[in-house]
Amino acid sequence: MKRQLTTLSTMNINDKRSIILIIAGLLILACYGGHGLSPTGQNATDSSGISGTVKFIGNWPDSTFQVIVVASKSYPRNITDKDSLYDFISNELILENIILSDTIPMNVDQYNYTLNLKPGVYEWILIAWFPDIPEYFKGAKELGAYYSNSDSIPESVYVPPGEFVENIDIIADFKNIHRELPFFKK
Amino acid sequence: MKTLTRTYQIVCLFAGIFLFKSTLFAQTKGAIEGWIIEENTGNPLYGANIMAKGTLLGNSSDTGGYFNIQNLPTGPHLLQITMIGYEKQSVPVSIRPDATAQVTVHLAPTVLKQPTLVVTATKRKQHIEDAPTTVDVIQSEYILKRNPATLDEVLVNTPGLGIIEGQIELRGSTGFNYAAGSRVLLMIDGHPMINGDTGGINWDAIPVEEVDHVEIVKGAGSALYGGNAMSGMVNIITRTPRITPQLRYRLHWGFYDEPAYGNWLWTDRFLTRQISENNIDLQHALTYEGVDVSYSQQIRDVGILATLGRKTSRGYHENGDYTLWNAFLKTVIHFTPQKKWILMGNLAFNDHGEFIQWESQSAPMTVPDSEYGNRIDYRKGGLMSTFKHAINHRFAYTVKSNWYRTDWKNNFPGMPDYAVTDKIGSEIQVDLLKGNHGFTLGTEGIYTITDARIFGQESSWDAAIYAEDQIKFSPLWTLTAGARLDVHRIPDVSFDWQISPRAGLVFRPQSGTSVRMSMGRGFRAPSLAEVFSEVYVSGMRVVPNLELKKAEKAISAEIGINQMFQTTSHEQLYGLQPKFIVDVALFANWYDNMIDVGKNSNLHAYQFMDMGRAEIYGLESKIKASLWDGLFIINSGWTWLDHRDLDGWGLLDKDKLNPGEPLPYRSNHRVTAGGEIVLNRLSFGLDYRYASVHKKVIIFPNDQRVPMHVVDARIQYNFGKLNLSIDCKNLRNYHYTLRQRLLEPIRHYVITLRGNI
Repeated sequence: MKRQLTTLSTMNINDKRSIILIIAGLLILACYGGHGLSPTGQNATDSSGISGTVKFIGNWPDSTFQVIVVASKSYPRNITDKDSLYDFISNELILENIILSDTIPMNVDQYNYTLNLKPGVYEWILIAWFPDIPEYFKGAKELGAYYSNSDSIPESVYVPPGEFVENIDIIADFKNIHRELPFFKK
Repeated sequence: MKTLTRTYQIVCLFAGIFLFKSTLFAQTKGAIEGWIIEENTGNPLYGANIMAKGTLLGNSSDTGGYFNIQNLPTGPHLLQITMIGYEKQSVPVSIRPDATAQVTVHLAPTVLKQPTLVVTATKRKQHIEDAPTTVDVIQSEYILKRNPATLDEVLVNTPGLGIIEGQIELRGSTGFNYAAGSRVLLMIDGHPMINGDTGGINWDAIPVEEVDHVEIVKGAGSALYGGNAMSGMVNIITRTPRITPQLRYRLHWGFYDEPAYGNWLWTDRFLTRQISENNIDLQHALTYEGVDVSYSQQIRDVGILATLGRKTSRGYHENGDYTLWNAFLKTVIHFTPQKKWILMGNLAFNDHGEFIQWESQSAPMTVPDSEYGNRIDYRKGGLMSTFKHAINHRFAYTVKSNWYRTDWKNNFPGMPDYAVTDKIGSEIQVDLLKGNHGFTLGTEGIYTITDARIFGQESSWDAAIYAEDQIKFSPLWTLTAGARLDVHRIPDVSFDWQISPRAGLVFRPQSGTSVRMSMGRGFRAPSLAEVFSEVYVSGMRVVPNLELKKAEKAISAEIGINQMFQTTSHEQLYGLQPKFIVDVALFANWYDNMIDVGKNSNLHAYQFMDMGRAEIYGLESKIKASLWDGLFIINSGWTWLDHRDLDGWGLLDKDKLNPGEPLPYRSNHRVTAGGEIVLNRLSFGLDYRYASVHKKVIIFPNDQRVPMHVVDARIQYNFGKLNLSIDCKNLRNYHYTLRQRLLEPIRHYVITLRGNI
């Protein structure tokens, strides 16, 4: 015996209303809510960090691989056993004492950055320049760092919980690209 | 090796004794033929599975609904007829010597399309309720309705399953590991499809149009499948060539919407922007399109299925374009009804841009200047041969061989790489039925060789033997127990062996209820990429780890229940006519020597390393429901995970160890929900996927992280032999990442026309 199948035409009016309500409800639910990631990355409730402007002086060298903002919890005041800035960054990165920004677009004169950081003190906010491979691993240099005055040691920045510290502006000087840092072997 | 040889001899002797006994005592035989008919329409049903219970003999119905089974022992038999979308039928028949019995079976449609026969859990056909571990089945109808470019786009709707960079994560098994070393074994018709070098998966080599169904088995499967199956298996079962000629086609065209934030617009090539500015340039707009054509026919005893497809996309981000060609050929030669040879081949050429990481979160769809124009030209192809022979109703054997080649090269400035890798495998499997025992025995060997700048010239060997027994104590209780011995060797680097036992128990107290329990051990040997990779990627330096000699291990345990509720009266529950299938599982996985990416502070670099122990506990619940006699269908699942490392991940500096933290790149909650309303020829569907925020990541720990909330919507109209659908994927235009600094697809629309001649 053939079974009587339910179709829309055989449904009663209450069931049809239910179907329409379900479709409308699902669509509303589907479209409800935000868009997830935001351009600044600052909409997370627990986010904190720093922001500012990097001003570049001089021409970008052709051998540039990337330039990034680096926030380090420590500034080496004594001679370290590290060969180079790359060694220092990679080692501190492994120990989670350093946070790197995205790559800064090439050949810009100025760049506004935002860096999400865990609350705490950051002793060295610097701009690091990396040359093309194979020089990448030994040729990294500091283009500039955050100084509040003419001190030779960078200014420390305290990042309070849930807050963004603004105006951490840095001058990055390509003319000083070969400046040696005294605490590294190279 | 001496032990191995002896074990192998015992297995062969064991198989030989059964072969001899079966031949000796099964002299009187008969046959049965019949027709499978659709109960409501009276039309013949094509593709129904017919098995003689308690034997290894069976067949499937042709386009006329006809089937036959030969070489059946005389006496009473119970025929079991199953077909997805229809209620299972059991028909008693009597076989007489040298006679052919006849039977006609009417199958009634069911609105809850509960899958019936599966093959992956125990390497042979069994009812899904008899599987000792959780098995999810995705049917071709479900896949094709969602119009995916590659199969992984649909699999992510499976409860407890996620995919990051092509790697399958089953119940938290894998995080983001640079597509190296899959803990879930992907197969096509039982042939492994894991890359020989990286141990990863290429989804573009899978012919979506030819998928009949996908079986997803959760929990350690190494007892039958060896390495890579330590957390589960995904087996893609392809279609069987049709008896009557059929030409099928699929045409699709789609475009990407703009991102939710205006300052993320990185080009004027978004079609919606071009439309609003009345400046349409379809040639350069961010669109994608594709065509797939397949042909199937049976000529005498040879069935052929061939597919050719081409897909192109301009992507939604920089370096996001691709051109993909793929082809698939399946030939089935029936020597006799119980002896057949299946030969398959697939090819895929994919020339695509490579997006390693975004320029910044304020420009997440562009790459750093130094990575602009990065491309990979990837070619892969394989040959798979399967010879099946059921010698009699109690003894069958299968011989499988396969060869899978991956060949890629990139043009990255300063570090062009290439890799050509061949993986050659062979397997012999024997199935024996004796009393209430069902034995599966086998042996397998795999040789992998790679020539690559990134890995060097390396090779590896794998060999294994396995045995499993399924004992039916009574109609209520089924016990499965077995083990596999694997040896793995990388010349001049490592030699390792593993024993992977497994036991499972299924209790079926009443029709519609199934309780399962299982416990097993799995392992995975490190892939060549994990040992030898030496690469610099976007600021990260990865170095080889020749000390990575031991396989990672896992013990999995699970207890679950599957229950069907069904009402028969139309008036029940105010006319809602509800029908439900509910499945709940508790599971635990204990890992040891877990291999993942870590930071080596001595080398100032990352490398794949032994991270020590980890544990994952969880609960998974699924519900499939139908209201108003199938007019409204709901599929939903929720997986909760509690995961942690026990030895402190990611640091070699012992002072910094911090055990007890969550495992990286895993979500604690994962929800899938899908609903479909079918109004005669018109249908409307929604799929929703949620995954909670990764509590821990290895790189960029301060990057913003958000949960995944993705909604896909579709509307379809069926014209008969033609089907038109319009899909909106990521309806909310929700922006998220699965692996860091790579934005997942933004909202896009696709129109698909599918038909057959």
